Amino acid sequence: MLTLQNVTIKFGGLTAVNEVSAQIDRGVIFGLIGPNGAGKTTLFNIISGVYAPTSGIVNFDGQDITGLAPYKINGLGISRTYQNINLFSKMSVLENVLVGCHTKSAAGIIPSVLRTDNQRLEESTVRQKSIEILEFMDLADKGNFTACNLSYGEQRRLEIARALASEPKMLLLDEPAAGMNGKEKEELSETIRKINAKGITILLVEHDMKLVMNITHQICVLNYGKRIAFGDPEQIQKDENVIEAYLGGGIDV
Amino acid sequence: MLTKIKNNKVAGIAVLLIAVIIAVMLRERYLALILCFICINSIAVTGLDILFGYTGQVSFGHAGFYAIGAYTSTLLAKNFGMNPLFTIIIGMIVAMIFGIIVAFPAAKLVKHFLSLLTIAFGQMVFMFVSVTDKLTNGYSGILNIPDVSIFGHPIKTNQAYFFFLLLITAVVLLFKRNLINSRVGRAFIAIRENPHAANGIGINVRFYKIVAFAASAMLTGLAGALYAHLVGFISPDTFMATQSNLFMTMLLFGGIATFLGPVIGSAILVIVTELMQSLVSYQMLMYALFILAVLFYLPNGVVGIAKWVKESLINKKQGKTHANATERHN
Ligand SMILES: Nc1ncnc2c1ncn2[C@@H]1O[C@H](COP(=O)(O)OP(=O)(O)O)[C@@H](O)[C@H]1O
Ligand SMILES: [Mg+2]
Repeated sequence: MLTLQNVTIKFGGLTAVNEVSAQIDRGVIFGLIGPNGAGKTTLFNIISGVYAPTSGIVNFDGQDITGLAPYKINGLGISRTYQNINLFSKMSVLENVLVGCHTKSAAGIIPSVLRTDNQRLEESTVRQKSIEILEFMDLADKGNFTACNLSYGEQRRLEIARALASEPKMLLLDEPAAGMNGKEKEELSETIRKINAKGITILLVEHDMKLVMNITHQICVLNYGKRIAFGDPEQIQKDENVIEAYLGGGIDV
Repeated sequence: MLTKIKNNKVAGIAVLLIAVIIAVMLRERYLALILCFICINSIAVTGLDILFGYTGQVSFGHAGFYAIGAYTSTLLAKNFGMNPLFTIIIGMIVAMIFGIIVAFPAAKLVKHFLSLLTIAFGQMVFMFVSVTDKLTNGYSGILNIPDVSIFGHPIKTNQAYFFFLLLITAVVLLFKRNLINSRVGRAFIAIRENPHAANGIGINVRFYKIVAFAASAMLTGLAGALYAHLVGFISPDTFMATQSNLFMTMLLFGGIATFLGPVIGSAILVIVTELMQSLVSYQMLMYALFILAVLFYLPNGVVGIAKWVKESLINKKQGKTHANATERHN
């Protein structure tokens, strides 16, 4: 579904992502792990169009999407969340999800100003859909809250809700469990599984090894921008390169 | 139930009061003129609000769009004898086209660079209407601009023009509300709140900034055209940078990104400006004081105070019912 071919990006002298190749099959939960500064977020930024790679190709569903603008990539079916929460903080929780519906609705400026029948119909469909997504993400009772007033964990869930509203084929999650407590993490694992069960392919960056090892089907390990290992969770836990990269301490599971 | 009746009563009294004030004012030609100015500025500032308040794109050059609307409509009506009702619409469209032209470079800029570009635009329009003597009669301005006429009946009095303007203002406000509560309006606000996240969730940020500029310029252009046909005389003086600053002051003082903020801000500043007619040279100082008031005391303008009062009243009421409940419990 998503293929990376020798993707490289340089920031001045620093090679943040170095000749990374990977193939992510439709329907899997694919983990991307590595120490801080390994280049995981940068790789997300390349896939989602924030950065154009210095060299290499990103191919999604048979289409070359290398260097395409983020809004176009979202339109093609890749949606993401951010490591540093990036909500529309003064909008309500429901409005954040409504914005997420942008690519899956069509009303232009004139129908919106005139509130044509079609526009009103679309608006009520979109609202209904957004409320359902909030229910799915367990945020239904917070719909009228201003986004910045949510707790940290709730804000992370809202980011996922907003991303789901664009009906992605593939969802990129950048450290979705950061700042969550144990119970929240367990619920999150369950939610990610449920999203995956809907047929959405998931690319997951996460530092919580227990969570990663529990829910991913395949894992790719980055270190200093390079891919150092690839395999299923069991293989990764035994991999010598990986153990060494994590300071010889092995991976805490 | 009781509060509902009470609220209706309050609203009823407010409407009645406003109606009486308007009726009294309308008896005076001069006071009717002030009401007309309030409507015109409300429309212009609503335009600025769409761009600045909702989309987060600053403009200190809206006098340029105001001028384009005014001069386009005036020149077409005077030189070609066209009905002002049509020339006003054309003025609006020409202003919109200029909005789009400005937006192309502007959509790439942020903050102070955008301020500079819009200031430059306002200045360019001002220079243009000042120096093109043959077309615009330069600094002397254009006199005897024809009245708007509806079905062959010219609107001659300020009183009648006010009702015409009131209708247009109401329609503009209704359209603004529809726009803001739509997919397009949400895209605007998303861009203001977080352009990167907006881009990431599928919004073509550049396109929507251009749309916001177009809509904004169109409304301010409409206001300019309406102004020209009200006053019957335009000259470059009206379209100096001061005018852009005045629009911005009205918006900030009334309350940005609110439904009534532009109307309230326009009303207060038009009235204060009229009261200070004899102190014209201190106008800029006065606007500066208004801006300082906003910066230090009224971050959300007058509408912000109204909201604050309403919320504290509700809290008080809830406190009371709460107290009642505990009393009964005892
Ligand atoms: N825009 C940028 N400019 C310069 N360096 C960057 C930029 N983005 C990321 N980097 C660098 O690239 C490296 C990888 O960062 P990142 O992808 O955020 O790591 P991770 O998400 O794996 O912790 C870091 O050394 C970081 O400082
Ligand atoms: Mg990161």
